[in-house]
Amino acid sequence: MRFVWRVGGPAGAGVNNTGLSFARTFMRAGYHVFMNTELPSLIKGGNNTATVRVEDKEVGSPVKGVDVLLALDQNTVDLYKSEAKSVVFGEGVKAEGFFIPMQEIVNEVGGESVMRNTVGLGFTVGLTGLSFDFLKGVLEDDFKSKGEKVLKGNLECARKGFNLASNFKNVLKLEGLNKSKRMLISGNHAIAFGALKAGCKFFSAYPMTPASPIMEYVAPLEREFGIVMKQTEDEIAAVNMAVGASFAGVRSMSFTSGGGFSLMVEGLGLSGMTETPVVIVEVQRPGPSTGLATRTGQEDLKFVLSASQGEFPRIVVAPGDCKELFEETVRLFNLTEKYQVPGVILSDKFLSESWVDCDFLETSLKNERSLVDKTVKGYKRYVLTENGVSPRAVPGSDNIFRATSDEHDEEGFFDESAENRLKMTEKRWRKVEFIKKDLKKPVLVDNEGDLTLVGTGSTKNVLKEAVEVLKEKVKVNFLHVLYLSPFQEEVVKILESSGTVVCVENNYTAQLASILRENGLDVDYNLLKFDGRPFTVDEVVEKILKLRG
Amino acid sequence: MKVEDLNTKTTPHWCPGCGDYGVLNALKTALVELNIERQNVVLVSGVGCASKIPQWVNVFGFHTLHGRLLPVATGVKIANKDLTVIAAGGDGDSLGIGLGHFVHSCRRNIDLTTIIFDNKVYGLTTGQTSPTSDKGFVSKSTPFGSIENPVNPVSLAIASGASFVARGFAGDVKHLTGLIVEGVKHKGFSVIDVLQPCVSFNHVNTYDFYSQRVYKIEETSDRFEAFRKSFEWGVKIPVGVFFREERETLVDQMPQLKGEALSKRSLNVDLKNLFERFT
Repeated sequence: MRFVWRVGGPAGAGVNNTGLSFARTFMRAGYHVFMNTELPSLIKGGNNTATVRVEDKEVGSPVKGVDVLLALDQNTVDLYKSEAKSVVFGEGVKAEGFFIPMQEIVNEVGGESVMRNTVGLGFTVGLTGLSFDFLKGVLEDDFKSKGEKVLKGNLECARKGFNLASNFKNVLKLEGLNKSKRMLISGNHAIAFGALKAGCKFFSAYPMTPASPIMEYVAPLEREFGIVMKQTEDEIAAVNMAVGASFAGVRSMSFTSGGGFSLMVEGLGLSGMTETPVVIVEVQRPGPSTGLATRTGQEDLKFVLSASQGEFPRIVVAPGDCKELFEETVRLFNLTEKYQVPGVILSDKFLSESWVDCDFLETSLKNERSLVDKTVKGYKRYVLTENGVSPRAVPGSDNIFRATSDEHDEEGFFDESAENRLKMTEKRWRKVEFIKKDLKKPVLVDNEGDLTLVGTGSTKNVLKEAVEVLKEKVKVNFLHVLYLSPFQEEVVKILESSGTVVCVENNYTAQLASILRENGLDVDYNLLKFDGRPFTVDEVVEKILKLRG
Repeated sequence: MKVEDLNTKTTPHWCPGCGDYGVLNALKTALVELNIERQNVVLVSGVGCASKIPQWVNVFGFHTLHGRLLPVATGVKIANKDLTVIAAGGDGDSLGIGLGHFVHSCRRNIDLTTIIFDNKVYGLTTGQTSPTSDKGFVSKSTPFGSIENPVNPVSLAIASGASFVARGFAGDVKHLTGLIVEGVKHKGFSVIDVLQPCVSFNHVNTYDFYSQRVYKIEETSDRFEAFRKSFEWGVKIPVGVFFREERETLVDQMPQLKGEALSKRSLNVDLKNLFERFT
């Protein structure tokens, strides 16, 4: 069962919230939902869309085509009518399909014109045949804080819209399914939840799309969770505050997009050199420079891997869905603390700003402190050890030390001797082999296949679903590269024993393929998309079928 | 605690006669006078001659990046409000590359003390003009003389909302010690601009230059009076506490930081109630 619904209108018309209400309604009815948005970088005008896929199985990727298009303006009709089976529209819009007097209903109710969305919402839910109760419950929750008048007006608008749908034959006959309580979250939520779960107590950031929602999600929790979310004067301050807080013993995270990460680069190196852990979230958008501020891309893979002058180990993880974002964030906090290295969570607009239903997030990973908790006689902060990790003390203890960004000896004193430089460089790099042992092993999805799709980050669900679709015609499997650093040799091993390897990524220069090549694996084909939009399942399927002739 | 207890295994390698020695002595003497346990002091620095100072004071030290001492120090203080945090850097650190952080730290009123080793020249890079160099200052980068007006750290600090603003002279260690003691005791962001001769690359602002000009001022809590005073620079140069006010600090205004320091809190968090809000 599949039902794809899209609402479109100018920015500022409440498109996103309408989409979320629709998605939540169906989630509560027991369906799986996935919502992705397209929006321009402006506050009013332009064209925003929110597209919701409703399915009876787990879903996490966009597809081509729309069953019902709720057009709040003419622009939406003109842009999307060709891919929509039916169009729902109101006054002032010329289209073929279901005309609903949205404004008239709003006037009857005596509400604000933005309530037209709710009329459309009611109508389109009505078209599916779902009971009104689910929508009613969602609207009650959405509007209860806005006062009784607003709530009542919206409920009436929804009801009237819903009732109008009974004049038409239902496009679908959906009934509520019975499922456990689930939540509707975005990728950015999953990262924020992961950080909280990992005991992160200090968040610092400068607003930048598409990472700033993390700020919005965490800031209201400051008092409840006893944490600090500090907005700083720039990303340089953000990352350095996080490093400072971490030095003092607090798990810290900073988050940004590529432009802000550019400013964080020196701070990343400070973390690397002083072995002070820090977690940075880089939610990619297409660049260079300002690029496409509100669109998606995977153009920063190689940048993040080589960011900062000099050489030092780092952990870079590129999860592909909410569950993985959550779990890997927890893991990254523990690993960066254990190994005293910087870590980067690589996401992108598509992954971070798409919404999906999921179970309450859980992980079997435990938070483990890797700090010295007693007085060590003759304590040396950078003592040479077998795995390169030196016990880390924090201020306020008797283990006084200095962290030093110049090359330093075991005690943190400047030491420029060639001998010391060799020892310290090797010490820092020794950690890598041990980090690798603590990473999750890569797994080929579906062993049967003579063609392997390989991707990283946000393409995971698209490729997974493409494999499902392709299966009937092509023997195909899929490998998700979760860690870009340290690179796991197992990835190459798996791909070496595969047939044709197709690398799928959202950039022009095939950066993942280049990383694979650097590690000894030449892919056979690159499937690249760099228009600022995510792959749809259909696109991938079509390209693979073409490839197979 | 004695001053010697604050020595480390190495000794400073600043140029003989460098004003930094005076500031180092004043800082160590001030820490002894303040009688704060070494375990609870964090000295954060940037990069430059002055910023090497954590090497030579036996307290917790963090030698960070050029210009970034204040964000790092702010992170330390938020993470553990019970620590005494001192951020030390040069005029390049604090007023050149780090000027933005300086202004924001002033308005934030984070409870820490910053000491600006202000020698009006870039020393470690062997003599370029600095943001505090006087107009006309001839340096390797300004062979025809600096054509920009200098930053006035005292007026900038007062204007930006620092709640303790002072100026000292590295040639008067006793007086400077007193300023550091007062600055550290003050609850809020304390700025201490230190006139500090660079014997290698600044042959204008020398010990003699300052000795002939500095005079001690009376403290005021009148912002405008302090601001007016901060512009005096010429035949006479005022030193001392320009301005002091009691104001809520950054941490004071974060109710979630009441009680146990952030760094001591448990990592284990239950998210169930939070998740309920997303159903």
